[in-house]
Amino acid sequence: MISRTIAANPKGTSVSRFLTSLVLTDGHPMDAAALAEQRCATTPHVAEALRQMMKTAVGALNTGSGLNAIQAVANEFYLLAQSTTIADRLAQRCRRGQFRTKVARELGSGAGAAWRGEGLPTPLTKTLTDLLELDYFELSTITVCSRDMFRFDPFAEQQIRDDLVMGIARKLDADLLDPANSGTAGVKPASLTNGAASVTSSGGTAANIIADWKSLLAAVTTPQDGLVAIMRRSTLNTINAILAGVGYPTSADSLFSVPVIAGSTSPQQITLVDAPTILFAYDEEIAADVATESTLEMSDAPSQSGISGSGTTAVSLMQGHLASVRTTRGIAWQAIQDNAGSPTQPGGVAYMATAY
Amino acid sequence: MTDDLARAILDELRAIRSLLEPVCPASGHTGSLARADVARLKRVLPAVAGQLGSEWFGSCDAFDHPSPALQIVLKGLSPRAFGRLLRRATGVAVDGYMVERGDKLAGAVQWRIVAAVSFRGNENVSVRCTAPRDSRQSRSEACT
Repeated sequence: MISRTIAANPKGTSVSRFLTSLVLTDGHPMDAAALAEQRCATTPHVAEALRQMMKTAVGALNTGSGLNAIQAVANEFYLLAQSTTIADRLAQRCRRGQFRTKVARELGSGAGAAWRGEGLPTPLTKTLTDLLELDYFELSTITVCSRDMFRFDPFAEQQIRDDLVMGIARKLDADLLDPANSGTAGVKPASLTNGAASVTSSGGTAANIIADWKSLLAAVTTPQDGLVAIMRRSTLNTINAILAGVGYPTSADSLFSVPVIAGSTSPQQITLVDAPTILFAYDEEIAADVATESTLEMSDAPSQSGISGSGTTAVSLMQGHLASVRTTRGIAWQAIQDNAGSPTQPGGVAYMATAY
Repeated sequence: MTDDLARAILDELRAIRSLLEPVCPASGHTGSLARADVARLKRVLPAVAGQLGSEWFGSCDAFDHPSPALQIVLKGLSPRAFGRLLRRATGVAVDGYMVERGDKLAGAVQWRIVAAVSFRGNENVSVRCTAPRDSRQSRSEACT
């Protein structure tokens, strides 16, 4: 018999199918589970998650299957976002903290060992710490798109995944790296670059890039044990092209031997971060809700647009044949080592706005 | 195109079809598999294909895989029973999927799931021919 090979489902497929099943059945888990059972043979945990969702609503989470399928779908969404957002890729290199839990911060030279002579006492190394606490900040995005987009086909599923993940990534990464973001108490954290040392770009030649890089390194006053550079992929490509032009060896994932986190959601700048000096707290899941019915605009000549968001203050999802997906996740960060010369400046971060 | 040429092409296509049909049975023909096996395979094969694609795997590997999809469809099976099921299903198309057996790796038989390409005679072959407008007789002959 003639056969052909098959590709595995791309990462995030079950998330798209979970949301598509809910949208196509107007958010009714029972109908959505039946639909998923019928249409999603390669992802049977989607139907299982929807069934568990239904049982959760009546207080019977334990289905006896021994598998939390809802959690599995949520984890898949989180892993998808984790591989896309700069914040999540950086967080994996940083110190992990918990929300609203006090964490000790080293202010002195740090605890250490000492040499001891025979018959002599062990010398003591004093340390000095204070306590930090990360507040809980919630990033929420609502993505509105046409209901026609929610279909069980690979292209539509990819579109849904990309829209949702990029919606999160754009906002999260901008607020993580934008120097102008000074934070809002109880709402969002200040960016890592807010108040950090900045370097002015001297130009776009290889000599300029090397000189600027040295200035950036000098601006990071922490030990640089876990240094990482963050920039747009286009910036890294341009730098690589310039450096390759003068015979300098280049790499797709590092610059001057420093690992690079490249992402289109970075501001147009190069950010150097000494990762162990940053404290990150984050939920390892992303909550997603769908809505297909909402306010109606009582007009026989409706001018509203769900695409441009114009025409009226209330856009009807039902009237516009739209569906919205709201995603929510908790995340917070804070620099834990200040610059020795300035207690308000994070010592492990420096940035430089670029024209390339 | 003349009627004779169209007829010759049609004869040739029929000859090709008669050669292909024995080696490409239509999907849905599950041969000697028991009903219970077919029912189980209809759930298992798409899930394995979705998670692993056409990668080779041992029956134990599927049980060790962290995918929730595989945990759901393999529930109630042991690796040995799963291996036996795959052995019975080798070469049989079930819902468009088919099991292929590979060599042993570290003593374990390797399997993979592929898509069965079915050939269903007239559904896959269509012949459009244009006959002269002034000859109803020859058009009806050419299109039969």
